[in-house]
Amino acid sequence: MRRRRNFLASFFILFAAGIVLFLLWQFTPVKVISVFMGRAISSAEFSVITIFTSSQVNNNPEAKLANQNKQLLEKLAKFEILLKENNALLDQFQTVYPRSDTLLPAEIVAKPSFVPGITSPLEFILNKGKIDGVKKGQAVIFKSNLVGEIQDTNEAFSVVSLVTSNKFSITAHTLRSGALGVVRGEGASSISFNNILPSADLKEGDIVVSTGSLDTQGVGIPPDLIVGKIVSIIKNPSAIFQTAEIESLVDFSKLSMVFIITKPR
Amino acid sequence: MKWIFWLILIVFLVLASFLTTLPLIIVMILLVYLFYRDSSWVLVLAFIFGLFLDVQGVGHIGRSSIFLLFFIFIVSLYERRHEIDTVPFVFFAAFIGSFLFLEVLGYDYIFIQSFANSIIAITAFIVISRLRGKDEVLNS
Repeated sequence: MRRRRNFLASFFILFAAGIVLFLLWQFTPVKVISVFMGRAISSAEFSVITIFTSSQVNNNPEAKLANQNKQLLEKLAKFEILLKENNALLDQFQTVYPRSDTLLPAEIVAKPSFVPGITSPLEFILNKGKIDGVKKGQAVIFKSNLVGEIQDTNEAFSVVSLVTSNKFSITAHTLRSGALGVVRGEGASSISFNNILPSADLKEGDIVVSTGSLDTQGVGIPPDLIVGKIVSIIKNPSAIFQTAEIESLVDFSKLSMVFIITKPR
Repeated sequence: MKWIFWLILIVFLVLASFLTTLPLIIVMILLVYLFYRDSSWVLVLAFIFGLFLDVQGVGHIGRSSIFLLFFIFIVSLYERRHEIDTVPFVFFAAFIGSFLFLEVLGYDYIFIQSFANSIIAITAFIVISRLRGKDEVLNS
């Protein structure tokens, strides 16, 4: 009976401790300590595996050479990535508009539901979040081209809806004639330019830019960002509005880095 | 015999930590309770194993500990009325415990993992019981 009482008492004490830890998890210092310890344990486990596998490699000269070759190829790949990032940054900061001091570079860490050759990307996940000053509704660009809009963000990551996504819609106008309309993503890499007055002057090849939709905090799509160029015009005499199809000047499937406009001008 | 028991547990802990998603921690805690059920430190072990799993997997701290404590508590309640040193009990306890654990953690292929875990549990139980039986005969 005493053992049973001890068992029950231990259970309730440890259960309460578990509940307290569970509730404390929402506080950042606890999270940080836990993440630090988790990474330390994973590194220790990884080191054990590495020591075990490398001891097998060191005994075999051919395996040693193959391993060195792999390491050199990895270093070369890292160098190529750095070069690409450097060129992207250089290109962007040579662009006059938007100003470079308003931009936050972000790497694309995932392109959900993108299958090369089969589907087109409609969303990106970036490695910047609330901690870096990213907010929902901010514009994402590449050089002077509009890539999309921040749809959702957490502490460390953000989701961007591309201009081709059916969640994306902004007002825009053509640079040449100023014809006003609404740009909507239609999915599968197509963008439509709708609600254009029949009297508006449209031509294939016209560049379409954003009209601007910033709020009082400066969050939103700034004006004069390139959405794309008109590739076809649908002018139905009986329709109230004319419609055009736009193609972005950016190949989204090849992007690895984009820029978030975080500070208002 | 005791060292074989603890060796099996350490192997399960290592496998569960970084080689497999099977919830071998359920099997470990169940076996520890079956062979050392009169001690409260089984609960302490369940708490520590749960913490280790959460920290190592960078998951929500406390979740696994609460689950394992609750699991042991339910097994101890069942023990008051029924025999638990049996292969059918070990199989069903491991299966249900693993099923619920994987469901809570949001893993895929829950049924097959739970079934595999139950098979491992009864195998370990039979091996340890036989070795324990031999040990008791040798010591008597």
